[in-house]
Amino acid sequence: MAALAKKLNVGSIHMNNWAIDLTNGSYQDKVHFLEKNSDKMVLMDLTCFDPTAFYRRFPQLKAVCSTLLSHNTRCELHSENHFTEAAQLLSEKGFVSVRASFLNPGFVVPRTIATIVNEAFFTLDQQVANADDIDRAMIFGVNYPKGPFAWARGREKIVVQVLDLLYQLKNDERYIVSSMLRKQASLI
Amino acid sequence: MGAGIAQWFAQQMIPAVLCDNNSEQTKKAITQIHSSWDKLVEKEKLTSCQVNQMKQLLEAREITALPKDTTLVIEAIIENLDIKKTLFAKLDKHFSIETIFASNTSSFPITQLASSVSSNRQKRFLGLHFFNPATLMKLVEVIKGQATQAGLAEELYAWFAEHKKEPALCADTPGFIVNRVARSFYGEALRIVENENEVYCKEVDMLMREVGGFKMGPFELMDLIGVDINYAVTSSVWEALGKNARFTPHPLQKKMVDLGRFGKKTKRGFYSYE
Repeated sequence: MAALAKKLNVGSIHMNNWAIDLTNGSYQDKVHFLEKNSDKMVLMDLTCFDPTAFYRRFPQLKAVCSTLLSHNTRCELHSENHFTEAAQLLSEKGFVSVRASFLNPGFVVPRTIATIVNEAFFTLDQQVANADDIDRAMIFGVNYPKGPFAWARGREKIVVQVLDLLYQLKNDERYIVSSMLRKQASLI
Repeated sequence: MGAGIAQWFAQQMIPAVLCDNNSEQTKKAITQIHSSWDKLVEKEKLTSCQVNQMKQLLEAREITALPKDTTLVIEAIIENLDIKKTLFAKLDKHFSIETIFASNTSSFPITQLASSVSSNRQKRFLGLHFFNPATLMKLVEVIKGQATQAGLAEELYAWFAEHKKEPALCADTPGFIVNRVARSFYGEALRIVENENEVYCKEVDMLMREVGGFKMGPFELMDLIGVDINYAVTSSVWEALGKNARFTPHPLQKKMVDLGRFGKKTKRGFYSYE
């Protein structure tokens, strides 16, 4: 994704009366960005956070999106009153927005992909198959657009952040991160 | 699924014989395969010469009428452990010790199935898990049992790769690769919606297609496969992997099954098909 972000010139940017943050910043980074832009309308990537909690705390947050685990240029975008403007801003950054009406921690696609990637790492760690065969099996057995390892490559840290968020919010062991995945993420 | 597998072999110009307890069933399957090939000739995807050859390569016979030196026998019968084991014991007596035995099971350990045959045959026993429809889906999971002789799975892996399949070599563990890793695709969607809500299911399906790039969303796919089948696979993998939380069936799945809402086949699943 770093390469894609670079190509699309994505980062923290200001356009008209909007401030846009599409980075994979920490919680403190996100809060700092919102506080610094309290006089603007903010569009923020919150793939690794609970968007509902951010909306509640920061009225300047007008739209939230999830670009960080996209394997193409499509992303989920949620906005109560500013969807069209926010979608236009994302389009200028190279993203095609698809409206999400319901809010979810980790959104829909990143959350699902994170759990698939986690299981792929458990499967690899338990020597059920090698990574290439796991990727191939998911593509040619059930038509996945990309194998889980290829999907996560270079973005393992984001996958871990999504799973940790879900574990923290749901207190459910299904979100415990594979030690192999966590190790891989720490190498990035 | 046996018919689809036999059809695929014939399409590779390899002689294939369909066997079933019910000979009417095999005759019907062969008629259907012939008709699908004829349609491909009409669409100019195959020549009539190719189809004539393929028709000669595919036949139906009783097990007892099969050549003892058959290279490979693939079992693809009902997912019932006792019935499968009984069949393998019968096959073991009929075929030469060189014949390779394979099961297309999606749920039983290969090693457990192999225990129904002689110790020598166990060396020539492995899993070959095809995906439906076998003529179109390229994956074959090649599964080594505990006693499978070194090199046999790799040999079949290479053979399938040469014949336009996309094989994946895997250990004899519950769900193998696909039925294990794919559980999250459904399990997470169920945890996102939590309760029955057709509008929410529709949105999850749409986002998985439009943003994720999947051909179908999890709810429409569960309705197509059968909510009951999906629940049974999830429960079986969950049980076999020590009731690990990652595979816990969702209460909504069970509720749908209890209500008889199995999806398209009952005209009601996560969506209505009335």
